[in-house]
Amino acid sequence: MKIIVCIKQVPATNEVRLDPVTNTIIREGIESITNPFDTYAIEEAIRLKKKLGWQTAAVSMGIPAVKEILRDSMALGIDEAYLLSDRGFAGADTLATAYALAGGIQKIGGGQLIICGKMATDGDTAQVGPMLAEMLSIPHVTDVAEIIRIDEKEMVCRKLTDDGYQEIKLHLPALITVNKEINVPGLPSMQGILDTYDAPVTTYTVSDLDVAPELLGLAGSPTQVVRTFIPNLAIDNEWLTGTVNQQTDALLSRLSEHNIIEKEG
Amino acid sequence: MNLIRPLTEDYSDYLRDESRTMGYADTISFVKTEEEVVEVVKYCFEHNIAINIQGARTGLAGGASPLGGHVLNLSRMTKITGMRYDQDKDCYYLTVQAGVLLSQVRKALENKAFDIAGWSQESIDTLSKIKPGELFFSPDPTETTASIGGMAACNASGARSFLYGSTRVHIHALRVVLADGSVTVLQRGVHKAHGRDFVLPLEGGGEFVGRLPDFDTPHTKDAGFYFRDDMDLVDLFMGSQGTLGIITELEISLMPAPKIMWGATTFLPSDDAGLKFIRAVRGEEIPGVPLFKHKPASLEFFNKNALEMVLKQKEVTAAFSQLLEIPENFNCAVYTEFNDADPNTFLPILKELAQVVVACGGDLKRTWVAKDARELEKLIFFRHTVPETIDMLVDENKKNEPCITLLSTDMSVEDKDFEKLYHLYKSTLEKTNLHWVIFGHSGENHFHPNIMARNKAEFEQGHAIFKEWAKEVSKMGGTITAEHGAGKIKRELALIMYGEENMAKLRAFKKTMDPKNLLSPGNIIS
Amino acid sequence: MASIKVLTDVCTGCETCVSACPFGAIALNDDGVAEIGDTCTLCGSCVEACPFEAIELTKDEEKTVDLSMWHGIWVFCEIANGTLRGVGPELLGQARKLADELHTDVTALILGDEGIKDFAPELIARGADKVLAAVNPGLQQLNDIAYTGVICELVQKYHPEIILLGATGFGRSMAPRVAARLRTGLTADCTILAADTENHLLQQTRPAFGGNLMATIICPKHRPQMATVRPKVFAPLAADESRKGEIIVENVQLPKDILVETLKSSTVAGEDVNIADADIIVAVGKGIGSAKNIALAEQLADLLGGAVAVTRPLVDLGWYGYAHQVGQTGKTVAPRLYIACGISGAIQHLAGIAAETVVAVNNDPDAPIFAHAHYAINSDCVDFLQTMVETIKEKGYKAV
Repeated sequence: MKIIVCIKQVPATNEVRLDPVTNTIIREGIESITNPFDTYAIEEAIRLKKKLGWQTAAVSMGIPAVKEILRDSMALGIDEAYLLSDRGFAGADTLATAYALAGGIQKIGGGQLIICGKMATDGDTAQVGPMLAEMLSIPHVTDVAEIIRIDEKEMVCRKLTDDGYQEIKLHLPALITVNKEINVPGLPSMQGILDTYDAPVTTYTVSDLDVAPELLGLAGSPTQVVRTFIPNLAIDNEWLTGTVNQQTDALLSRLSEHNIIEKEG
Repeated sequence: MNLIRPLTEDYSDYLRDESRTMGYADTISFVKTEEEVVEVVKYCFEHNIAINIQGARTGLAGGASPLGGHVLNLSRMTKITGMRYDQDKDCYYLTVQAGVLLSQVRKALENKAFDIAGWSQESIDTLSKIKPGELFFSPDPTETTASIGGMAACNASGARSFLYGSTRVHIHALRVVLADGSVTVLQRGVHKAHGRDFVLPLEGGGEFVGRLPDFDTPHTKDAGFYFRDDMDLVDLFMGSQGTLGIITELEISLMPAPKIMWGATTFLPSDDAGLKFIRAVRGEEIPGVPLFKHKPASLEFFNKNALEMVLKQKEVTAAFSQLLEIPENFNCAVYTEFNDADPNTFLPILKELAQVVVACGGDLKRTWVAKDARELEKLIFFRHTVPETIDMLVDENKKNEPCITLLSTDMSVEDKDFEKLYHLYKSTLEKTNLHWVIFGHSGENHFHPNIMARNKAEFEQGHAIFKEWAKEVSKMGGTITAEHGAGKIKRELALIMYGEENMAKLRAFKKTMDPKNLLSPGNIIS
Repeated sequence: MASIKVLTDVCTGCETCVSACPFGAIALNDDGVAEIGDTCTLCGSCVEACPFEAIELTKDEEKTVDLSMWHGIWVFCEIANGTLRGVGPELLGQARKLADELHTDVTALILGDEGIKDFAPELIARGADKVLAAVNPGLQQLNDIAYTGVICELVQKYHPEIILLGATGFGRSMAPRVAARLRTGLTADCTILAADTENHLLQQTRPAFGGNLMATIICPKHRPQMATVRPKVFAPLAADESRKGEIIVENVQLPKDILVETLKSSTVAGEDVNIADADIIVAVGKGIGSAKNIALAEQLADLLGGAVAVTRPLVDLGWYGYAHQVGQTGKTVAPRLYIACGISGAIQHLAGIAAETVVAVNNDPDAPIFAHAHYAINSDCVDFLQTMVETIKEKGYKAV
């Protein structure tokens, strides 16, 4: 029985910083980190490993430097790490990414449970998890806040919905995406780091996988970005001044003018 | 006058500080510029009104809590006004108003996010040369919403002052408003005492001629007054807690930011193992322990009571839900942090530290490692939950007995007396039925024993214990306040440390600088 | 395989591409010309930015579907527990505009038991030309696998060129499965949808990099073109009862293996308001000072019939539930009124706000939130909340 965690390297911040002197965008000094939601996925896999005795593996797609975050996951207790790295994977949208990950997961023999973070903080689409489940022909649940019970055949989890929570039972193998209610990600132990700082990370290229190269990377991506632009978020605003009572009165009269609130009766 | 308002119920928050000391005052002003400070000070001088000076009110000794008269609040002096590079010293300096917060300075440096409106061309040119996150200001009191003026006034320190020194050494220049409203501008290395005689140049001509008290303040790390022969006059105001003048603007020195910050929290089987580990990591030669030669940035200790207290609070305080889970069967924990200019030092130092952990009885599987500043936040969060829990318990106890305040000490001794100090604390407290914890900056030998008094009797018992400790620590040549300053809470302990004779000298000295005794009444001097 | 290269003899080293690259993948090399590093994702921003056409992105020819057989815009209208979610009619309104420009029609797609046919008149009144009702008692529960199976079969039968779906919790879970099965493109959380009439394409614009950058995305060679849109991004058309439309009922089969079963659903006590649906939101950030002060925001929200939202740090501190978090890692909200109390205005938080009117209350006059607020109030937010609650009680204001 194996649990596979899919992780992604993302920039530590999305904030666009403007140099106060030159007014240009500062790009320096932004480190790369494990997608914060994926740290909950890793932690959950490690907890399940302790409880069930299953094997754990982490899979990522990206440039060779992504080995670092894969080793970080091993220091935390993940048993094996795999990196899909090849120019042929580059430029992938969510569909081509899911296809590559599915190829990688099949290559390592598949897993009984696949865990992904709810979404990545750079792309912010939350699409790769469900797409991957579809490509692996397994059921999925998104936004999992708790695994209530799990055995080799099925699991019951609590999912955050728009209105509250749902308890969902699903047959294994299955895929879940987790949110940050599920656990508190721990830190690696000193032993964990000493054991894994030069641990091998298996790297697969396109030719190692049983996939159709034309469905990978830029070529395999149905969507194309045709234009990017910086949105103008700033708006004209009015400062309401005076004492807090005056400010409140001014606000209430503005909101009445805009027909947002009205006096009763 | 316009600036001075009656201190009505609305402003009651300004009567207290983080120490839970509640004071009283008639009026308050929120000044924005040095001119306004001068205006208020002159008015108060003329009308003989006491001035209580406040920054961000994060102090732990009641220094900002007023004792009658006027509250001069500097929390709206929040401008970072310029930047300078000194080629000879190869050092960058930032000029800040006294109410600028530490968190504000950190954020500005990290993101290179400064409001440069009103900056001089030299400042703008200097800023254009630096990169985000390249420079940092090292003092790190636990409360990052502390004001820089307040940090200077109590010579604040924090966990990392073990490596970098306390606030004092990082303050390069000052603008200070004196008791009569005159202004002096001082720079480190330029304005110095001659022996014990000194001259403060005054803006607009004139000077103030004075003579320092003829005793040296403690030579261990100390948050109080600083008196030495030929001293820098900037230091006269460091640790003086507003008793000699009002700092309005500071030039702080910046250092190249370390390229890597990492840390480890080790759980150890006994207090003795913990103390041994601390000595070993400080570089002491200990039989059976490999010699460790890398100086940590900080070394923090948590005794069993402190860990158990946090664990218990985690069950009721949702804010602690993201707290890491503590391993079972612990006795104490030690947090060690390393800062380095070379990121490649991580692994070799980690390997050496691992040998020390094992030699002191620790378990590598139960030692948490935070590899970078981001992960470090989790360990630092853990560290901060200890004082935060204490604050919550004090607030809770205060509901039953209003006189209760924080009962925390920050005494310090020389390295050789380190274990003696710990056992003094522990043996005293173990004999009582009090609720107590010991944690804190073990690197510089100042633990924070805290007593969470549940009633008036316990509160008084705590005070009596602190007085006994102050006597013992003074005998060892240590200080009664290495970090927080004496403020109002530790005035009695300050008297024990200075002795009646030196306290009289202090009083006389203050009179020369503040003839009407209006500045920060009740702070340090009794 | 696709590739990108800098024409080194054309590149002038002007560095326009360096700052245009959203991934920081470009730097000048020792020869003073641009060099593209490993972190390149072939997004093409640099190609567009280069004033000298010195960057070439080659993409392989790919198999394309026969575009001529795909017609019409579908809007999936989610019916949860017998209730039509508001986002469906909102998307019908937008689809109506697109369809008019593209000279095609709008179909509202609904799935559920027999009873769902009752929603048809409303959907037509809101802009649908047709209502396609897929009926099976097993579709009463929202289920990713059942819905994916049914929708994909209908797509194969009717060949819609565009499918719009609400980015509800269910929509965000099910739509990627549908797209993956159909092997077509899906763009999440679009905020602008426009028609390229010349190429007959849907231009889908969405925030990227936490809202710092907007990206316009197309799906030129695959059909259907799929996009999800968060609730409240578009306004529904006023209901026009006189509109006529066709109702098509398909009695569908469910897929054999459903594999997933909802055991029970619950609305969390105190969290029964979905902030994404709220018209008035009182949002609080760390400036509120303490967990207990949030009660003031709750009082104000109650008085105005609104909901309380919080920033991420408050959720991290455990002061409030994740279901109430607004921002990049929480929910996107589009209320009529958003009152931001003690919120500094981190871009990650701003990314989640699409409000008609924003009020910011902060004691820091330089807080970034003020640049995004219609009404700026430089005041302590606790004082403000107290005064608001008192004044509203006294003068008897309520939401319109």
